[in-house]
Amino acid sequence: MANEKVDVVIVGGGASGILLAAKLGQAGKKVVILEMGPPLGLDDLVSSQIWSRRLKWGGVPVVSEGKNPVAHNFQSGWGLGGAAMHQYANWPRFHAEDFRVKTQYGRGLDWPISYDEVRPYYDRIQKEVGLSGDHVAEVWRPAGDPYPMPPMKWFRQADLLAEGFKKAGMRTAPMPMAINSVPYNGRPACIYDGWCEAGCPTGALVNPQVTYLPIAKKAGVEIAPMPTSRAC
Amino acid sequence: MSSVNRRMVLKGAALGALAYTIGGAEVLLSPREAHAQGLPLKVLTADERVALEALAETLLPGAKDAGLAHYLDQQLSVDPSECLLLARALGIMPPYANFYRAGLAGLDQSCAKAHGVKFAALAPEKRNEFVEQIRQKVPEGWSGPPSPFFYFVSRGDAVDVTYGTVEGFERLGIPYMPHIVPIRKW
Repeated sequence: MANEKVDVVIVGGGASGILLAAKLGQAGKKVVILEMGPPLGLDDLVSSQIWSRRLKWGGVPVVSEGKNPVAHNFQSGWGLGGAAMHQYANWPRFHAEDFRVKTQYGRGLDWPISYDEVRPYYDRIQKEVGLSGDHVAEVWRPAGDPYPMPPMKWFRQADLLAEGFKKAGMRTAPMPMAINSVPYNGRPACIYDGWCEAGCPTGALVNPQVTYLPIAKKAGVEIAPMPTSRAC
Repeated sequence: MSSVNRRMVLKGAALGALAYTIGGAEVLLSPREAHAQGLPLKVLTADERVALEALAETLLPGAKDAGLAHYLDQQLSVDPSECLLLARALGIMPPYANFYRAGLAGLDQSCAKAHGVKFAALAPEKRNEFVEQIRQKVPEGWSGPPSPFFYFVSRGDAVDVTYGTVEGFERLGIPYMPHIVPIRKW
């Protein structure tokens, strides 16, 4: 494809790059994703805390310092799917005030958009990829559609925490999770065996390999290795 | 095959094997086996190994025989993109050998400052006492990464090699229950 003309080149096959590629591909655009990491697949999501470190950044060392440091840290991913391949899948929404932290608290920066503008996209993404949660119990949750799946199971430690919060006059609610509590969109329900951060190969936990990558590939999106130079 | 049966089959797979070189041929051994066979190290010096094993055995008895030095040395010999060390997950800047060299040197230097001998020469109870000191704050004479952080990473390595495998889980009496067992060489 060296001299082939494409409509869009996306640098980096992570959660946002693959999502964008899928949508553009579905819209008829010719898209190529340049990915500098290994072409990971679900069979690379080995059930081992030690092995899961292969999903962490393995490219050229990145120094993040100065006045405007780049957002690169130990959570950065490596390979097709990016950091979303080793996430814990806690997907709470921002609250309205989170978009105005400078105005309200004098810290950080305000966003140029408001929660009301983002809300339709929260509702859309939770339906597309599948979120589990209890919007009624989450009394602090900003306005939005109910979650498409019931909450994940909770276990004894959650009960203990809830009891403690209740004694302190506070309440708890199930976390909104990008994990299937029931079969959803052709993907199975979680079996609760705790390998989330090592990468979930069953498809119960949302990662680009089971959500938008298949759509992107079906739409003809090409994944190509990104040439890099490296100083040792 | 049910998921439970699949797990029983996979339980016997070669989790924990690393690639070592014996007589020019590459073989797969667990760090424990490499340690027991006395394979030479590629990256760490003899002094660094002595300090590392003394530290590891203080942090987690059994880590030395579990092959911590061979585990760490083999992982330090591969490209950072292939590395499985906790250092990678914590965002430590490669080459990771620099981190360990500096930390082990700091351990021996600060121990010599406080007790007049290198760490491995301390009596066991004194080792425990000194490790508790480096865990809490950087001791006098220490150089390299902050001692509490070096303690944290070293302890994590010791836990990894001792309990982070199927064999280690079994010693703890915890069912491993993998979806995919690592059967390729590390």
